[in-house]
Amino acid sequence: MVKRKINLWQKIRKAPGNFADKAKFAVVGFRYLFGNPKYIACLMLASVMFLYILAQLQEGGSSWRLLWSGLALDRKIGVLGTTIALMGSCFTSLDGILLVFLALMQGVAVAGIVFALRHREKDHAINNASTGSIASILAFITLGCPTCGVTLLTPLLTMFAGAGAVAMAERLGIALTIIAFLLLIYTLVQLGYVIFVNVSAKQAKEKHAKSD
Amino acid sequence: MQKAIRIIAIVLVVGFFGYLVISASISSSKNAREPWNEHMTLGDRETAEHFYYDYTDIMCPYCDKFANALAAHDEEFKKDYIEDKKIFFELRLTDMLYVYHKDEGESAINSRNAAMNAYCAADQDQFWAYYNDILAKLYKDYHSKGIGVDQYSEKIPTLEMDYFKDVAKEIDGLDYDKFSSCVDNGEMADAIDKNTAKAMNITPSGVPYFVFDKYTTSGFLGKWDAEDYDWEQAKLLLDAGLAN
Repeated sequence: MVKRKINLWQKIRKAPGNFADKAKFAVVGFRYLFGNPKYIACLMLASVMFLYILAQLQEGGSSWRLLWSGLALDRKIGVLGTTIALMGSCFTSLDGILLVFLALMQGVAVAGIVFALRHREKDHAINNASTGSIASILAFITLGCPTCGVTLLTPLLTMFAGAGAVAMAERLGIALTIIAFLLLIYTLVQLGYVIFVNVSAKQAKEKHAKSD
Repeated sequence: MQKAIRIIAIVLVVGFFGYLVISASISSSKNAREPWNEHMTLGDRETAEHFYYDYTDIMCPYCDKFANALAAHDEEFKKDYIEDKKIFFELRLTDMLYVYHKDEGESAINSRNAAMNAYCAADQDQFWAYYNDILAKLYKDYHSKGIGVDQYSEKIPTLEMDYFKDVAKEIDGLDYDKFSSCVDNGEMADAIDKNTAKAMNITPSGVPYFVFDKYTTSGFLGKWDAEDYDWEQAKLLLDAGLAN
């Protein structure tokens, strides 16, 4: 029993070290990945897409509802333009910068998943896409105006907490955003490590082939 | 474990987009056309072809952006929408932010006090004058300085009751003594409680919440320092109601 406890403790103590090592390899992996312009394009595209969704939800999702309304097409295009302008305003405030950072992390994750899929690492791609999706949803549902109760999280909490849902959404929103960031960091380290291993194996194989 | 993560992810993603689509397309069946307070309405209910309801709280920043846009284009709003489109517009004023945040700090009382004053002004049929003036005062003192504009900005402090009552002194045709007595005695408290409770059953997603005929939406895409921009956004909302 005591031995099992000691083993468990050693595992826990070792874990951060392993994760830190993995993170270092992950950085190398992503440096390799973004040496390729195709993946930079993928990163940019995915980041802009995520920032667009984040900017829409930040305003309580009213533009999303306008897109589903009976407005004429030209006015709906105008709504799309408004949201693009909102994306621009993200760069001028502290909370906006946080959204930009979140969108960039999502973009890096998408580029990593594309790499994994292209290099027959299907299992890793699916697992990390799942974790990344959970992180995205957690980030999305906390956006809006928690003070006014206009977030996607509030109606969900109302089912359990009634009038206390808004206050709860405000507090829970911060916790969920932190969890979303942690999940994204975990996803990026996993993906970066997969890229590193894949690239190292490829390089070793090429070296071996040359020496033969 | 990995299978569980995949299942959670699929459920969350499908649920998230499902909720967005459903919330964007459903109409509120709980929309009763009987006005909650006749003094907070615009247009003729008998001849109206469209019924618009705006659930709001004076201390809610996004509600105020919408209200400021309408106030700044008052004539255009009344002519192009209320008269020409035969719209019956009702502002359903609540103290929802007080109910939501009363356990968190003293400043939540601002919402209750603001509603109390506005309802007492409505009692003398001076609601719109009071409402537009108190919003203009809040804009000048706080919102224009970036205070209380969103959840990240500095909060508006607890305001004295006189902050709200002083606005009424400037309104022609309002009996201030009667108004003051109405506020001090909390004569409108029951009406506010009743309307807020009704509103909270209708809008699970806070304020501002709009029921424009069959079109329902919450939040507002405005900016504090761009009056014309806010009016364009307000028109989009009004037109979305007409188009559905």
